[in-house]
Amino acid sequence: MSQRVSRVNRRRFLGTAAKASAVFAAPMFIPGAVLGKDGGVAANERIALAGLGIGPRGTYVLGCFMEEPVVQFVAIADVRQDRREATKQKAEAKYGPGVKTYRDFREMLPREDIDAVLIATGDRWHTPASVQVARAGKDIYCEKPCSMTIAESQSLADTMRRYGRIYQAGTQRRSVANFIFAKQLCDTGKLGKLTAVHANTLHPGTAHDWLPAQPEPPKEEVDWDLWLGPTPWRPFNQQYVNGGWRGFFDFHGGGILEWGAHTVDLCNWAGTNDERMPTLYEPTPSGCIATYDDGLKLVMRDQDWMGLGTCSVRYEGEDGWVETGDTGRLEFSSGQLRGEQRQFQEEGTSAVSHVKNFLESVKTRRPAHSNAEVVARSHIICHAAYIAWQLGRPLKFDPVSVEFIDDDEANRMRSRPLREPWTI
Amino acid sequence: MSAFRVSIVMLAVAAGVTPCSAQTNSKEVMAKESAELIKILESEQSPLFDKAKACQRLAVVGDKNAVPALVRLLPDETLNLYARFGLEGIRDPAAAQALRNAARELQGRPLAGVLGSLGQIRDEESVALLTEMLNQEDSLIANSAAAALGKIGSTTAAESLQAALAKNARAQTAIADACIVCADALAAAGKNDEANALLDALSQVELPPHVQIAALKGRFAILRDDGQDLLIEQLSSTDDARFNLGLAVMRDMSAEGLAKKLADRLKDLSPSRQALLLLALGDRPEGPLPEMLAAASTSDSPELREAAIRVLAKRGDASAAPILLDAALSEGSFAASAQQGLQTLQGKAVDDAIVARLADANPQAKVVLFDLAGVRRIAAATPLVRQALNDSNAEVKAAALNAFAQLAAVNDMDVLLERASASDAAEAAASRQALRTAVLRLGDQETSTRKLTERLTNATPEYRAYLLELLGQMGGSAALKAVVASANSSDAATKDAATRVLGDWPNADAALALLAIAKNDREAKYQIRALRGYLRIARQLQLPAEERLVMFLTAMDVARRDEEKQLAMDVLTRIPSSETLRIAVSFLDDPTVKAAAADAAVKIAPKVLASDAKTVAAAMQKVAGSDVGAELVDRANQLLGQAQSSGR
Repeated sequence: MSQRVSRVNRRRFLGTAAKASAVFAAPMFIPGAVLGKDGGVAANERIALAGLGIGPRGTYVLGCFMEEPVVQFVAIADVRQDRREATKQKAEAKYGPGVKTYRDFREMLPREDIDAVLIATGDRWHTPASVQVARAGKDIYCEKPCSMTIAESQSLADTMRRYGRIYQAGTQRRSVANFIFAKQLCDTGKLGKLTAVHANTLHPGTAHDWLPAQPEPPKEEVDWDLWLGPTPWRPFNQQYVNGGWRGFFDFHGGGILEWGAHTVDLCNWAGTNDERMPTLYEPTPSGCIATYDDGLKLVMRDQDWMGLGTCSVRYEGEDGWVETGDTGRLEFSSGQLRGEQRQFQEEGTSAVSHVKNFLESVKTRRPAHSNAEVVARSHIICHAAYIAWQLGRPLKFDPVSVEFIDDDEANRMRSRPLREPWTI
Repeated sequence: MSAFRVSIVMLAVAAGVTPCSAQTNSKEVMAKESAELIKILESEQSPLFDKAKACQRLAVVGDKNAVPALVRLLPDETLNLYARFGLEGIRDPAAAQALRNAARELQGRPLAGVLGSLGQIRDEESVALLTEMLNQEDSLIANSAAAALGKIGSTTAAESLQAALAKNARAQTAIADACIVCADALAAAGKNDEANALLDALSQVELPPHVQIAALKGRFAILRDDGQDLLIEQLSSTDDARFNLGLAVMRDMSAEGLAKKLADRLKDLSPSRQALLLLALGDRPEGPLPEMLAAASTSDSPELREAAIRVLAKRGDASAAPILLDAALSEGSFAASAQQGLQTLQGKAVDDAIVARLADANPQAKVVLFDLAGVRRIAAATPLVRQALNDSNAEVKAAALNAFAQLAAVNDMDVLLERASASDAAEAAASRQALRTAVLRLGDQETSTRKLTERLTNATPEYRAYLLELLGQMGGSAALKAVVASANSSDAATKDAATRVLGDWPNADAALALLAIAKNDREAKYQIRALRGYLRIARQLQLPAEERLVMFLTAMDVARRDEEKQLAMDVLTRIPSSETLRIAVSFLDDPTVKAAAADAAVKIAPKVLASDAKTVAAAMQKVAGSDVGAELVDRANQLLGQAQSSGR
């Protein structure tokens, strides 16, 4: 765990943000040359998509991609044989034979016919895989959380910038109308000067324990070494592979990051237009209260929400507040604000609009809604909050140098080494 | 079995790891002081797990005294990474020196890991060493050395990378990537000439096109506004990747007058490229030239026209409304974009233009215009919208109704209430949706509630159920009063509908009414429904902890069935404390709820562990000794271990 985080970011991190303007359900912009006479998409103009680690969420998101005529799914890499086969079968049912499978994604990346990769592995792989894919010249839609550490967050943003890749984090609520609407209430001053933004997070804790060792399956069935990838070795246990890796420190960034990747991201977007990060982090028993340099509070808490659905956010200003969540419903502080209300159909978990936004970005090269620069910032906030929570003390943070002030232990927790041969 | 796996198994056996046992004492290990952690590393008796965790803890608290013990673990393929956790964290020259020394001794994966650490700590003193490694035949080592040099990002690192670029074909891509990283670092340090030289070197060798594009992007980052000619070169390229790079770069370039420079070039491009370029210009602060936009907005090319419409919608003022309206009312593929743009384009003149078009609009246009009037909440359109509520064209009528839902004032509710009770099922359904939208939007809750409540008496059962549901969605004390009255009705259908609504009440205000039904109603069906509604409030809604606890105790007292008692246990998990942990455990002796109580206890325990390990230990001991299933017992034992080690 090093103090030496990216120096490049220190200069650029608060520079001009790659802002992406969100709109309500805009139709996707596909250049006309792509469209055939029947309105379909000519085969050679389709976006050739590959999958990397397609489990339950990945299967859903892949389904959203496959609904789009501009997409052609061509390959799947997964360390699990059953998932490779299931994804191949699903894709071939739509596109016909020819979807190739790979156990090791490094064998897939040199393919020049692949334009973009959907990454839906476990969290530990999100940054290292994104970096590898970007270095191979592909665009990326990657599930959240996007990083395991502050240093990974910086490296992710740096790599996407250097390689000019389109990156969309799976923080789809940035493309869901009720969350956009709540943010617009902040932008248009309907709430007055913002005083606090609240993010629905989960209990932060993770465990350092190991599950009991079990016999390792054959590599072709589950490649355990590749499953572990950049994380420290530990004995095999099927529970990890079945999704039970959550809650273990080596594989998981904790409950603040788990939902904060969405909700802290939304709050930073609404509260600062993605331009700033808090400078003070004060842990609470089950979350953290962070404060920006202008006094705006970012409250990360796991309870006392109004029942508007998972991943709720609440924006409070001097003239009123709004709260919303995954149901699409909104609550307001006053009848006057309620008059602003619109009806929203898309649930917060839906990736439909977010996938469309990504595909449009691939074609237009406009930064996607959840581009690497903005999500790196919100992820750093989550990581900083979790570090404060682990240490059990308030931490001051310099957003320019991306360092904690006068706290060596906290600074050491900003990065973790990667198991060889992985680098970011 | 690979040599790697053999070494792990042997190490595990030597370290006394039993293959089937879980390792759950991490908190115990990680609570130790630095000196004790070092002892763990030095002892041959220490289990592998303890060594691993000691390394991870030393990453945070270790100092130079830990370096020798950590370095000794580097040759081991399993512990190499754990040791590097410790060594990367120690900010002392001794750690860097030890890593350099180790690199001379190691090979294979452990060596690759150490090289990675030297890069991570940006150890400039290791450049010579890494340069040697860069030229090794083993691509794992050469790649790792290249990545490390890239991260170090110094002048000497750049020289090494540049020299190796043409020499080591096997690691060339990794070296090229390192060059890009290194150039970025040099530029960040103000060494633009050195950065440029390194990027130039990349163009001299044969590399995959995307790497060349990345190098080019690096050059743009250095050139900034001076890169305009280079930008025009990319935008004129027949290569899609270069053209795409140009699109991305021009969005970031702050130079003014770029649109003018590009104007001539634009004409020579294909319509698709013109469209993309126009969109990119639209994202720049200065935007495209007005004449460029005007020409595109009347182009024969649908895609170019769509791009123009999008830019106008994003950047335009009210003067763009006529163009957007023409497009929105056309049958072109760009109509949807124009309609979407008109939803957000600011200005009263836009509203006026929309209303003016309504005057002589055909049915198809009316559908679009009513939709816009509703979304934009154009009050001036209300008379026309109201008039169209009985239009003979079904689509126009539906669009008018939707718009009316967005425009109606509280006095207009009567119109919707009448229509919502229509005998025509389709009309009633559409009107009810509109009424719901209007009511939830309207700020005057008192009047809305009164109007809905007045209709309850003479409503058909089915309409009454709808009105009750709507009152429930509105919330508020007057609405609650009306629904509670219906819940006590002698009419079965009314009572059924009202108790359902109470069970889903949006806040805790309904708790007392639900409790009264749960306790006093004569029918079990309503008692159960009400108690479950009461528990929903206790489990899910915003409440002070004390109130939640009282609701739990009350529910346990009132519940007649095991199912509700088990459900109630979940309330305790919302208020984790030593007290609620003790309460949960006190139910372990009750066979009907013991599993739910154990489940609640193991969920509460981790949240209390840090503040009250003693209570957690006692509670988990009791859970572990109960007949509540292997999974809960295992979890309790894990927590018991943690509590006991915390207490030491």
